[in-house]
Amino acid sequence: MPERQLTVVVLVVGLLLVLLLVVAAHRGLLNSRVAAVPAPPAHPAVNRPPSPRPPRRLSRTVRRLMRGPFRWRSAAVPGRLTAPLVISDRHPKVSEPPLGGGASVGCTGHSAWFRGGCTARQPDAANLVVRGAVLRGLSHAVDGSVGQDASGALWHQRSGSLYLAVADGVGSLPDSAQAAFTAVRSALDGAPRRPEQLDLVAHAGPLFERVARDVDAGLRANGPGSPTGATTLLLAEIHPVAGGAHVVVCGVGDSEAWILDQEGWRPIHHERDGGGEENSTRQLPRHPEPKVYRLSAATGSVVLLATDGFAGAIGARRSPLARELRERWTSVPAPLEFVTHIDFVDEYWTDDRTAVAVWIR
Amino acid sequence: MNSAPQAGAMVLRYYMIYIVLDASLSMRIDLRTGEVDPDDPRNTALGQFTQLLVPMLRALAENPVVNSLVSVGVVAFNDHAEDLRKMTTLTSPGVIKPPGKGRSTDYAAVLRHLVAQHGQDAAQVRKDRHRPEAVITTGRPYVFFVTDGRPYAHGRDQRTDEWMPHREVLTTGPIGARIVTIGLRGAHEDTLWLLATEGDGAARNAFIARPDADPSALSGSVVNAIRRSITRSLSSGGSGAVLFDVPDGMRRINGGRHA
Repeated sequence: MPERQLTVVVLVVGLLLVLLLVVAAHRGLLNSRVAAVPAPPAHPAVNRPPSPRPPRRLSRTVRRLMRGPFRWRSAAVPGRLTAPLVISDRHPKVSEPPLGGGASVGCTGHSAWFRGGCTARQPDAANLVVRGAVLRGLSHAVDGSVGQDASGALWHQRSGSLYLAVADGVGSLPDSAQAAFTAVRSALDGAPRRPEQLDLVAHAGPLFERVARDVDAGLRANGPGSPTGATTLLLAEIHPVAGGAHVVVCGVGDSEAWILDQEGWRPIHHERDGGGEENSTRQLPRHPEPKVYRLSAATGSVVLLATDGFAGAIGARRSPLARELRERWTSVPAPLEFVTHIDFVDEYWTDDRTAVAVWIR
Repeated sequence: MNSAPQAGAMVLRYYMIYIVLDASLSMRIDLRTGEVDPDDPRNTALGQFTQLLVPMLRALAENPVVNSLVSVGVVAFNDHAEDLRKMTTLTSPGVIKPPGKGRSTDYAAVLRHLVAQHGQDAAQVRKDRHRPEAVITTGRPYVFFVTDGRPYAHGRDQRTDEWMPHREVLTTGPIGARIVTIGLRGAHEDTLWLLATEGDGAARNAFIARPDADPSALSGSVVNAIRRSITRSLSSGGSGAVLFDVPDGMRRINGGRHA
């Protein structure tokens, strides 16, 4: 008899396990795509301590489980987030729009993104694909103040070079959004117009002095007195060649430039304070002396320019963002998919976020 | 041309807020009857502040940006200083215990206490906010100092040189605290100015009640001003300066004669 009872118990337990597996599979709990889809950032986390009182009965625990994260719902559809809405079979082959006209965006009361592709005249030169996003931070949205980041990109056909700019307005000054946007426009305007005998490395100093003057002049138009705005600035020139691209980066302040290649993430421009004097950074118009870097990037690399609201989360020590992007950026993401990457969810990072990434292919 | 920089770690900076309450005898007088240490302390200045602080902490916790950056401690002082709420995050229970009953207003004791506590509190914040992938740091602390009296200890007025050295240690060097002083009726104007630090400009963050202000309404306006200050100073990635609006019924102290 005891053996028979044991068999019955084993059968019942086995049936229960099978039932649980069926329910879990039906609800997509066994589908890894569910975990890969980022949670919506509608309600930033406010951690609350767990209830100290445990459930009294097993049945209550089961009911809680049934009500909790295991609601009846279908698994997320892969690619649904960014798949184009096709309404007929009469559409052209989608390609990257050229950036010859340039793009400049800020985030005063909104967020913005841009995309583009660049094809050099030399047939064997690498192609460039650009993704850019400027997102107004939660901190500004909560207190109703303007976002202060700006960014832009310009493909200069004559020289066969792509120019990128990223600027982060200094939060303590009221007109820093204007300063950031002026800096981006001025840098993208001035960088391709240098004397032909000068490369950007040699021209960076005079160029940043001119940008600083433009920023200062724009602010002084608001009224007399000391400047009421300031901004960091990063400028990059990416010149595609056979097998990759020549890259020059010039920067003032704590916005950052990184390269992602087979070796992983490496900083190009990086002025973090490392926990020293807080909230201080070099800025324009006060510090028009850029740091300048030159490097070669191989095909398959990604060059990233970003303000500290995004780049600050990329670190040398086990950064989850760096690890995740290294996997996701092996191919060019769709524009809105790129936006979701910049809009990663984390309770600490609430400032404006700007990132421009270039895939060298 | 610059050489390639080394990759730094992800650095996360959090902020400590100290709310310092004078708990001397004069703060424990019933504002309607004049009774000292009444059975129901809700109508004393100290009772009003401690009642209002709990909803203020809840309101701050509702702000996702402030909540993610700030830890708050409440300190009272009279004959000595004591913690009414340990330095903890806003998600921790907002219990504020009643202060002990002393007669003095010992500025040296409370400033010494803040200096002594800072290292321990900063370590607690780093522990509370620990993330294995990041370096956790603490910013310069904010101190909101509410008092209604002049420095007084051991049966006599406390000389400036008895408490000022502790203020110097607190506001300079590795701690670098930023102090906002808020004087209720009876506070000593010059002392408030000397204790405060500069705000978003050259003027010091020192405030005192107007003579015609309603004493029972002051606590509410002060607590609202502290809440707004914390939110404004930390929400928009500013310079780190304390942004503090003059509370209703108060005025900024002009300390030009001390400069």
